[in-house]
Amino acid sequence: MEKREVTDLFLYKYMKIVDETIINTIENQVDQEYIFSKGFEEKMKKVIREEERMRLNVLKGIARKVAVLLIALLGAFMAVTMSVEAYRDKFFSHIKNIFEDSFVNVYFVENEVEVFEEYDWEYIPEGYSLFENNLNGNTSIKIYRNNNGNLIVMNQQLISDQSQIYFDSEYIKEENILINENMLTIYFYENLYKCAYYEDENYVFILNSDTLNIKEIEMVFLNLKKK
Amino acid sequence: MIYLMLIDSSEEKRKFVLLYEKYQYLMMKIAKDVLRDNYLAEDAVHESFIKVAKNMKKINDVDSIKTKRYLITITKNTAIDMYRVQDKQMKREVYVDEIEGISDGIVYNEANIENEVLHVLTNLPVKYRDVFLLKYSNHLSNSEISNLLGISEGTIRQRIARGKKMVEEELAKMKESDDGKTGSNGPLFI
Repeated sequence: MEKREVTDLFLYKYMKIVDETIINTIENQVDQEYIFSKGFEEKMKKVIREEERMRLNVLKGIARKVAVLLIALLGAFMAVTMSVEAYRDKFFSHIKNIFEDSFVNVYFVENEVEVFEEYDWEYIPEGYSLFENNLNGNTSIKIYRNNNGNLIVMNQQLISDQSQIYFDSEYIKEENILINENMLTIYFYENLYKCAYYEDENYVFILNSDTLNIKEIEMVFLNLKKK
Repeated sequence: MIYLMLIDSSEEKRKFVLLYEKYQYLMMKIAKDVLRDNYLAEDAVHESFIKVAKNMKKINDVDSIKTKRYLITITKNTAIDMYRVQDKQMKREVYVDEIEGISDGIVYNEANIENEVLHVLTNLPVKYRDVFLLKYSNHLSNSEISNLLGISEGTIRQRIARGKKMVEEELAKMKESDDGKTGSNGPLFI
């Protein structure tokens, strides 16, 4: 009896066709009308958000393009309701648009400052050293890292008219601390993750960390100085 | 201007969201075929996406057969693991293709030698076919297949060798049958 030899080459040729046929058959049987439970949708949102945050902590020694701010704004999560609160302070104002799982500060500036003046973050928490420093137009982003690979991201942003900053609204709690006559707001998220937001006359400052406590964050902003 | 800064791979994140939007139903079908329960199947899909998120470097083209096979394999294995936990009396290995008979109804349009080959390969026992698909269609190494399926590399090599032998024997039988030596089985496919 003559046997046809089945070699790797033989299988490379045919298995691709078999694979495609099987997958096409499966896909034709998929129920596209299935409605996932609310619990599943919520869990998947968290997976997507966590995927974002995990990237904060992945250090591979490669140069980064930009540092992280907060959030995950995805086209899949559309606004269900919106409400608007207006704040009128400083030389810019902003309104806060609230969506289902995020909120957006939209800024309005009448007389824009043209020259970006970088501030000094004079207090750096113990154990952290500068890992990356990006200055780009009207944005300064400094990333500090400790030996455990934890990151602190410090961002200074010159506000321009109609600019927007997105925040994840699913924080556990919020604390406000008055620093140099301006309010520092700290948002607490799962897994000890915190986002601190601060404004002065022309700039917005945002700090992200999953290790710093309130006192350390407060010290960072108390020692934020114009050069 | 939307101001959104992402570390390293906004591309990867976008890819992950795309995978979720495109394949959640496919993965749900795979999971449900094993688990027969919507809630358990959703748990399996959720767990599978967590695994996918940790292995985004392995995903290139979101629409490719390779990506779909990868997602199907991850989901199937996750669902099988959950099935085993749910039913500890289950001793034998479980394959979703066996449960659902997914290989049933697959036909190739013309009766010719190529289609005989495809028929044999499609109808291999699933434990051999899965390994063949991952190695020869997805181009995974034995080590990668071992990690994905949770079986040893030795077992992978064994299945490849036995699978090949099985295909050779089946093709030989078909040839004998075509030659009329053992009687006609009729055309295999319409």
